[in-house]
Amino acid sequence: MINWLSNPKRFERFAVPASKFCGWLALLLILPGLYFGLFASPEAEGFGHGVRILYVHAPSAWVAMAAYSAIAVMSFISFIWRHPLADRVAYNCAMPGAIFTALALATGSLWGSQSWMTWWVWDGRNTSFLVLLFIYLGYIAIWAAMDNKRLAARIAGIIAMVGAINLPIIKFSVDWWDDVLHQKATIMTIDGPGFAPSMMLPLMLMLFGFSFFLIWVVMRGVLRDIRKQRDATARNAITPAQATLTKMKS
Amino acid sequence: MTIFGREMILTRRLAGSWLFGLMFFALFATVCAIALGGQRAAMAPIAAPLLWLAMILSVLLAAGPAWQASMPNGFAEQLYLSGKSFAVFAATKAITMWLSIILPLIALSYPLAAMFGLESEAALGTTLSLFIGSPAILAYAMVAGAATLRLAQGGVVIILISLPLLVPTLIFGLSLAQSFEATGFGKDGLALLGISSLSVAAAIPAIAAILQVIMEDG
Amino acid sequence: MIPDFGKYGFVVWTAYGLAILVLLGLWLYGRRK
Repeated sequence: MINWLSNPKRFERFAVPASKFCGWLALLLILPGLYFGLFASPEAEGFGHGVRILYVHAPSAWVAMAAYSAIAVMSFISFIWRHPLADRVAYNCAMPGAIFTALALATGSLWGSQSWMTWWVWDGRNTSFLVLLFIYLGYIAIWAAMDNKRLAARIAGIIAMVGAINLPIIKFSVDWWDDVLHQKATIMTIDGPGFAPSMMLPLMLMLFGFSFFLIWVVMRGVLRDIRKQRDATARNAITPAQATLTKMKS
Repeated sequence: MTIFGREMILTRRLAGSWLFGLMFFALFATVCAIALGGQRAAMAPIAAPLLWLAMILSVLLAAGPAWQASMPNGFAEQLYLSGKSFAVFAATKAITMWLSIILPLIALSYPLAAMFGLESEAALGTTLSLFIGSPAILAYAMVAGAATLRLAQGGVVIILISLPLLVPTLIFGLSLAQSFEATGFGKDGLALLGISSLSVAAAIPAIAAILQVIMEDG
Repeated sequence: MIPDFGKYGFVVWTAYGLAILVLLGLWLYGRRK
């Protein structure tokens, strides 16, 4: 716990202004992103206004994957260097990451309802993203179900790393399963015909906006954890001092 | 001392979990057959998938109690003090669990596959796929079991942690089971063998790390 | 002044609605003391 106190001060000095910056930047990117996405961008060939879903779907998926990468990297750092702040960063990435995964799945389903005329397809991308959601939930469950949070941090970290190694294999196997067994036709991709610069703008705005928003959420969470830990330590420190004082008085 | 240690683990393993796993496997298959109406024509196409699911669930359910039984509080510290590495302990445990829990399941899978309407070639393919894929199933079940050692209700979390990791094993296992009649062991067999090897190689160090952590902070 | 997206109206607005809900929810979550 002594390690915890020394680095967090430096982290706080950096993160309090940094989080404010990220928060405002996120807002400045997302609001225009929403505007351009909904109002000031064109329809797509063959998919019409439905392409607008992409401007919330792709950024959600991106953030979902970025958050898990962060969990994996932070777990590794924590494993090698026993850095307690790395644990808190990983922990704070989990819930937002899971929520964005769910959002990606929901918006993807809405997309699919119009492009494939079905609300859910067990294709490679959908299926592996659903598996990612469960990997997130398993990670969160370890943190939640253990009372000993220090132990929870370390075990969750190991499981996160095992999951990280497996994710490419899972993705590969599900894509293979989809291609070989289902003979799916190619889905419209971003590089397809008719992806104009006017479409790239809302996409990029939302992509970066969501990313900075995630960073803001995670930093706020870690700052809150640091504050809570400091309050807890302070409370524990007061009591013995008071005891000594009362002893001295009598 | 080493042999004695292994014997001790072996007898503990045989104590109860293997029978539990076997009973669940048989019962699950039975209930599936009942749910499907018992018609071979309906069951044969999905026999391999159902047996794979039955196998996975049986192993996952047996893993938790198996760990709890052999890791009472303080055991990790004793093991550490005795000088044995956690990795060797994990590997030994894996072998004994495979022999006592998984082998009976694989043996039972052949008659069950036949009861589900599969011809001998296809039934053999199913059994072979379970045989080759079983190290992967056991590996992830043991990792999840170790991770949930200090949890009160580890069962659900074991399933939540291990099932996503078992997706590739399931996919390649079933592709072997279903293509065996036509192409034999082939590429599908090699792919499954690769998955099993990788899984074991990843799981043993992970289990050792978890045991280490439990000893230090648990 | 709400634009008409034709047959895509429901899905587009639902998608954006969900996204905005998520963003607002996480924003409130990040702001708590």
